Amino acid sequence: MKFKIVNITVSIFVLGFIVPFVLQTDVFPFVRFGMFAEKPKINSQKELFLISYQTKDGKLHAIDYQFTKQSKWHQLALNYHLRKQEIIYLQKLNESFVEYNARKWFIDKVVIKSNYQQDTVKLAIYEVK
Amino acid sequence: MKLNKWYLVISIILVGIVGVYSLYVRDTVISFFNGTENVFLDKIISVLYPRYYTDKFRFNVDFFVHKCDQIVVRLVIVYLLGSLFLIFKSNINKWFNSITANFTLNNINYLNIYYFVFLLWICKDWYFLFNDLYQIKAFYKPILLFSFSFKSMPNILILNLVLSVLYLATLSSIFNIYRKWSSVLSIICFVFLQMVFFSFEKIDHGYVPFTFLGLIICIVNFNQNNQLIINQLQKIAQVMLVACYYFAGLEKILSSGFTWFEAENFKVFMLMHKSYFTDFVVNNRVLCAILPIGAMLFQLLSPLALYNRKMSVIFIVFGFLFHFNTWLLFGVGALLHPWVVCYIVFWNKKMES
Repeated sequence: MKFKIVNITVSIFVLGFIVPFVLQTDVFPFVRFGMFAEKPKINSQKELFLISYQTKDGKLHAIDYQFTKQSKWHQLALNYHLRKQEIIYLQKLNESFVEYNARKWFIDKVVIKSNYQQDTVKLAIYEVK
Repeated sequence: MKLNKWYLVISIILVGIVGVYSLYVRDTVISFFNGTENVFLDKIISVLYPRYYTDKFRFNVDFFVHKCDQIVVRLVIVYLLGSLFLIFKSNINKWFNSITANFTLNNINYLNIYYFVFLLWICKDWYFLFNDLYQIKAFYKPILLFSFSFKSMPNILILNLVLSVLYLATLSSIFNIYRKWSSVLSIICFVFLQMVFFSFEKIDHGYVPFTFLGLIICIVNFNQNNQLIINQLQKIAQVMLVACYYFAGLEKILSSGFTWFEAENFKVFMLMHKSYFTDFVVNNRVLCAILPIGAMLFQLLSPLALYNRKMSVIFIVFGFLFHFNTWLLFGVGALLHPWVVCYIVFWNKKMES
């Protein structure tokens, strides 16, 4: 019995390390330890996403910067941007924050270069029907 | 004789896999990534590599072909390591038994208090976190384990109920009230809530060794009267912890060669994750050369921590420095990282004295 417990534990951990390692993917609760593993592009630059909305009275409001810079929210915006689904992203935001009574949603990308110069690129506008 | 037969079977299978991949699958994969429709491959990728649908906008075909080649290369590595394990099984067992492990019935009580206090600390603001997440439930994309059971985000009442059970069970484990079952309940709730948390297109590796340690502590709690099993489990916990660091180093080598030993590569990462110290470090040649090499050596040599007590102390010191620097220079992780909390697995009587 005692060896069964140890052997089962060992087998679970061995599988837990090997499966994500071979498949190079996370199979939660087992994960691939691939943080910072891919080679970065030389021209890599920091990107931030700014989300804002216009209410029916014409006023413009920005979603709290502290909110959007958190890694999870930033990752979501980045993923939708990479998939070229910014409009869907804004639609989902509108669905999530109905209480804002937004008329239009905007997503902008701020590119911070290595010399701290910033460029803002307008990515998409979603008009609420 | 029996072992030889197995070798033969596994070797034939492996040669078969490599052969079929090189002669047929690789070309099919290339044409799939180039846009040819393939329902079968599409299904496999949607299950095993859901991030592909994001990554295909970022990387070219070579990146994905390299990933596929890597699967075969890694299979061969695992096969060779497995073979070495079978050949040197008795030596490995001897080495495993020589690892220092001194958890006793007495300090298991402290171990539980230590672990579950940290668990409580990690989950202290999860009520607000899950309420925030529930607000954006439209973005929920279940991870593989949830894709059959929770296709849409669990109701906030269920989440708050699980969170309450987590807090109660954790407190109960700290105060040794029905500890066996309360620790299990606490870890189940912790894993469940992590699964919800990670169903927003990002799996965080920060809690992995901590969760593994929790599972081991649960097994320890059910075998409190068996010193032998407790020792074995402490050794497994030590191997598990250093394996996390080792695999992180190995991934870097396999994914991007030896670029992590180069100062230029480190500079690019620094510029991508700007912090207060970025300019100072980027303009300092010595630091740019030393820091990445130090980080890689620490990860790749981490198994040495299992060698003896001195090495484990060195590992702990460098581990603290590693996570502290990652937090300070990249803004990643925390000052007291959950991986660091797991260094308790190296605790032994001599350290205590």
